[in-house]
Amino acid sequence: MAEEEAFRRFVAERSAGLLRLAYLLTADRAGAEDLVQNALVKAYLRWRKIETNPEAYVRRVLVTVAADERRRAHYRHETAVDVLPETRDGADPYAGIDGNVRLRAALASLPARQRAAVVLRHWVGLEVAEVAELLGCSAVTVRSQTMRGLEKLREAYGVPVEGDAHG
Amino acid sequence: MDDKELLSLLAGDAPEPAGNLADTVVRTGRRVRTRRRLTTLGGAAAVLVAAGLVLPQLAGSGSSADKSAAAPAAASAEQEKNLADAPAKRVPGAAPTLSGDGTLAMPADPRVAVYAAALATTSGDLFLVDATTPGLDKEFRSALKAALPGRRIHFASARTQTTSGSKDAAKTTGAAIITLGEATVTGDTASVLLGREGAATAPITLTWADGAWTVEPAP
Repeated sequence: MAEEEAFRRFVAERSAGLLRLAYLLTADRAGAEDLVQNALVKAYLRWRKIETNPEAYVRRVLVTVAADERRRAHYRHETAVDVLPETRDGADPYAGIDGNVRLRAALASLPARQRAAVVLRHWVGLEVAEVAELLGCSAVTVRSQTMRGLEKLREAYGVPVEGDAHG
Repeated sequence: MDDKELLSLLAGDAPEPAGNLADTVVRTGRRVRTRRRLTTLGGAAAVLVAAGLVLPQLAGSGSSADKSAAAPAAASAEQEKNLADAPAKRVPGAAPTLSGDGTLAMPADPRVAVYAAALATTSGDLFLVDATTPGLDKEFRSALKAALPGRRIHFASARTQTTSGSKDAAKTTGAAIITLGEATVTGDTASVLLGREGAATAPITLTWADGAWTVEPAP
């Protein structure tokens, strides 16, 4: 029971942060909730082994599943489409009202691995080598993916953004 | 605005955690754990059942191997006796067939010779209905046809012979319609039930004499 108490405490303290990470990784609110819940179930089942650093385990699950677009689509029985079903004539009716809409759309339009590289590097604050290890690719790939992803986000936001242009 | 602020702006749109998230996760986790345990138990039970089925057979083959090793002389003597008796048991209507390697093969089912001898008393083509005699498979039918050379033999089950009209076709060709009943072989005596259309079903008794089954006259 002590283990379960510790797990519940972890969920209460960290679920908000994990949901934000999942949302940035998926650019999908419902998808983020599903992703976090499934990752936490996995953590619950392996709690004894990961109790010393559960967040690292959950983060790895989130990144692994979110970065694998085919796996996510299969898991959620979804098929990717080019046009969002809510929009009419391909235009967002609230684009003029909410300036963040374009930014969210830009985030959603990034390839999953590129999005993961940007988020892990610049929001979570991991080193390039750590991101490369998590994504299973080289450091050079992480740098190039991060740079391209950030360029798209800055362009979508429409204002100059300061940052590390080299990823 | 730097990159981190840009991403934090986006992260602000993330959903808030549900109040019962921990409960939901724990409940789901318990269900998954239970299912895994049941799967493991089921797999173990399946292995035990499979072992229970296979091990007795292995033990049986082992004991039979022991028996043959313990009494090789008796087994070879029995084998020689069977070989010596085999030519004498060849009966009319149960002719051996010549296989590809030049050896003679007798029908595996001893009832073939009994049926063949009993059916030999009926002339002409035969239309045999075998619904009342379970176990008369394709091999039996082939052996029976081979045992009655020169006769056209048609087989049908009770269902097909009434529904397909083949029985009527048999009538027009003049074939004798006979329902095959049980055949039993006890030592030198055999009994077979043949149902002829238009006549009462009566057992036919056969005896083994001079290397052939002979139909005994009806009492």
